[in-house]
Amino acid sequence: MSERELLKGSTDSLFLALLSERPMYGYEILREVERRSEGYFSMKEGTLYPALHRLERDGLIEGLWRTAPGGQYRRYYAISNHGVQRLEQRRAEWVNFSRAVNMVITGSTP
Amino acid sequence: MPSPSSISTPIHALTSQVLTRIRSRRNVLRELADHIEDHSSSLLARGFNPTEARAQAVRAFGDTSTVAAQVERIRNQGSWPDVAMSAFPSLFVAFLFATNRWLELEWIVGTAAVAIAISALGVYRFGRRAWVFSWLGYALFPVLLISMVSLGTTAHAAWSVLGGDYEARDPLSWVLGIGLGIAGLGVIGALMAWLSRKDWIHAILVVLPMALLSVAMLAFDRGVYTTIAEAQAQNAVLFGAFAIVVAAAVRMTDRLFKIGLLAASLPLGFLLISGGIDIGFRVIVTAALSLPALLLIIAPYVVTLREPDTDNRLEHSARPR
Repeated sequence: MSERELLKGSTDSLFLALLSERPMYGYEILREVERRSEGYFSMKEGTLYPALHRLERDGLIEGLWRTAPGGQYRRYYAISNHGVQRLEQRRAEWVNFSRAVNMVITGSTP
Repeated sequence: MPSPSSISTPIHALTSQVLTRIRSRRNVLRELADHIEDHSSSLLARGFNPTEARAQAVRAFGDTSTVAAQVERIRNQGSWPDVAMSAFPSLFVAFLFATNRWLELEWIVGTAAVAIAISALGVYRFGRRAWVFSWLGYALFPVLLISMVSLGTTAHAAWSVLGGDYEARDPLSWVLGIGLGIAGLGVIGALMAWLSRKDWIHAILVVLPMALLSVAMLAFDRGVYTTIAEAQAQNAVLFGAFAIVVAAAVRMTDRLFKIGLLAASLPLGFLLISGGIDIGFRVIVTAALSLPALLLIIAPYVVTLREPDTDNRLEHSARPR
């Protein structure tokens, strides 16, 4: 599986994890994903917005226009209660999945 | 490096749509333009010249029109489960009419209780999905009914007193009658005002079931129907047709068509069930119901035109200089 395909299945979890810390606007989310992954996750910038609006439509995040610290008016996204629950579920799935893959691929045991 | 004119084409295409689209479309475009502006500012801070910074920001973003269309589809078009969930309460009310259960208290209370429970669960679990608002419209009907009955009986008592026929009524009844009536309408009014600011379509989905049920009950109360069977049949058809209208509106991608279709359903619904009324009265009521429908359709345009500063800001921020 290519890195692109791996990223495609994980973007929702990445965005939910970031937004669980604090509300952010689109450009901020993208830069934060790049920074934390040390550039590993780098996506075509326009693809961010369909993903964010899909999460909002599904009630996992909420969008709200407000003033950023620099004085600009930006559309911030914040995680919802439903989003927090989904994130917990995804985190648990990820821990189990990565542990199982590690055990098979590297032969390591926890 | 692309020339400024080739870069400005997608941005101009982006901004030129602003004044001809309704608010939702503009907010999406504005959000995308903000992103390009942020990226451009970041590149400027890293030493790029303005033209180069904007060119790179536009390139990194990709085709703004395609992204805007994708976002709009996601925001506006309900999935098939959304369509089914949105249409279900209206179909169920049609079923109540068709099977003569609409006058049975346990069915009315049970339906309202289920609608309230599903609306509350929907708001909590699914946020602003269109179907939640379709259920909310039916969940609020008991509030409207209590309010209307309270105000109606109080007005009737007041009319009796003014007419000289003193009606024995203790002070608490007056207070309760007026208080419940105003409180109920206040709750519905405040919710509608809040929803209208958030999303016109959600507001219409909430208000229409209450309006249609009120029209149906008014028609029944005024003796429009010659037999109960006739009333049941017409109201079953009315709510069945309304379910189809809601399903179509939820599935449509164009917001203006959604609003138009939903808003037109009220006067058309009245025409459908008011066959027994004098033709002059039918025309007057249909015209009266068409007026708010027309307002619902044009209001988003009015809201858009009242905020020209946003368009200027979008155009100046996103266009390469």
